[in-house]
Amino acid sequence: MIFEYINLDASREIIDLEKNLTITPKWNYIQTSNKLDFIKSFIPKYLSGEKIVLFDANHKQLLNFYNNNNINDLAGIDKANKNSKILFFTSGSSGFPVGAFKSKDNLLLEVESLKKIVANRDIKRVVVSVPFVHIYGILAGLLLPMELDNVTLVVKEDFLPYELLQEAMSEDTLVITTPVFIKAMAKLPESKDLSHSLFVSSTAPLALEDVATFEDKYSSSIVQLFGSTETGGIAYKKGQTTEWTALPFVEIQSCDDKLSVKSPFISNYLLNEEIVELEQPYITEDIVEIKNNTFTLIGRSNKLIKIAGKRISATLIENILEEIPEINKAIVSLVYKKELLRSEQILITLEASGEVDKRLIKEKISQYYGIITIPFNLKYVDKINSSAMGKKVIFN
Amino acid sequence: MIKIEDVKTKIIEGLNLEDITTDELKDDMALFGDEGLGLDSVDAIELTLILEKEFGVKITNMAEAENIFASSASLTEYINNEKNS
Repeated sequence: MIFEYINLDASREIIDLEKNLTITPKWNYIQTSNKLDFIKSFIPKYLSGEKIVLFDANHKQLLNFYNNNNINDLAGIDKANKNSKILFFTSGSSGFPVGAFKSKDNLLLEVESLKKIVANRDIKRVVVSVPFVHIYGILAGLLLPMELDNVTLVVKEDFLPYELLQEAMSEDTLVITTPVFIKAMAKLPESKDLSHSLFVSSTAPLALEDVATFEDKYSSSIVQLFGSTETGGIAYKKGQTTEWTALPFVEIQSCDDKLSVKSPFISNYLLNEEIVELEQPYITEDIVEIKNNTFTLIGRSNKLIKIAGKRISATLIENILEEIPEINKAIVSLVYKKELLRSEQILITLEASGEVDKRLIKEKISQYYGIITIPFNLKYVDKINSSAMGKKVIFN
Repeated sequence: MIKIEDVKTKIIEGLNLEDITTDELKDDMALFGDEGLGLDSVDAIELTLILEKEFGVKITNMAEAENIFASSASLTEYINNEKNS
């Protein structure tokens, strides 16, 4: 794999990666700074057999955890160590991050599965617009290009829609991206023939009309991936369909209407305050209708909100905000704004003694969710009452 | 000649910034970063779409965008320069 980096001034350079590898089979944290430094650090460590912990350093809870605990000394780490390569962190259902240990087999089999999904295309370049801190960026944006034959990996810190369009115009390009870029490119006034390029999108499902607009405008195809950090990829869909098809090596079933998954990509161990073994099948919180090897998403069974694919606990944010002296009560709800690139937003309704600085709220939330941007708007009401069941209710 | 107030209105409406007014959004307030309005890279993408749709100006690279998006004032100056060129 050749690694080509696009600088801010649009100049390009081929980056040599360190080849003097030292095997240090201990867990080590890689600072997720910029993409260039990250790749230069990650690839040699990954190839050397070093065990890598990945998380966003802006995430105060995780940084505290990492500063106060040596992962190499945690109880049960010996079991989790077996074949483990990378420890990813994701937002857990309680709000505290959950670590998902991924073994070499977890990762390589999932890459093999992704290769099968794109096998009908000639791929000479992989352009990556996503960050590398999360599992999608690592798997599709780094490990997949490393396993493809004779490809150039093209990376830039931040793309604008026209820049990504320009990159996608080169023949046989695979673009690893997110719904934000698919929707943004669909809104550009000009259209190009991108039939020789393939787009992969993950982190949140795209609306059918966004897929249709994009594919019609660029004569191109979109493959969407569905999964989570703990499970890895579960399913994919190509083009304008509501049905997700299980990825190669993945078995899906319905368990009380919830999606049940057996897969070699699922973490064997999680770090959830302590190290716990994960059993299969893994039951997700997604309510689905299963038909053979496919499913349609109906909804979610719990009160967690998903923003850009990340689980956000409304209750946790309400509790965080209610620690601010001026705030008596808070209610957090999901608002879907179709016209925006970041369609999923939260509305925070406050009963407060005065106006609260939005920057303070942003800072409080980011202590728990790191660099994930959670777009929110504030609404003040005179009173938030509680029902007999303890549920908060807004009276205008 | 596009007025800065019109640009601010489009920023606020286009980015759905319901809790800030055009008066509160000062001419030289940084649009990005924690010290200013706090916009991020996704907002930058959204802003390029807003500029093209509302004012017919096109921004094609991030290096250029960093200077143009510094504040409402720099954004307005860029729009007017483009329209006069």
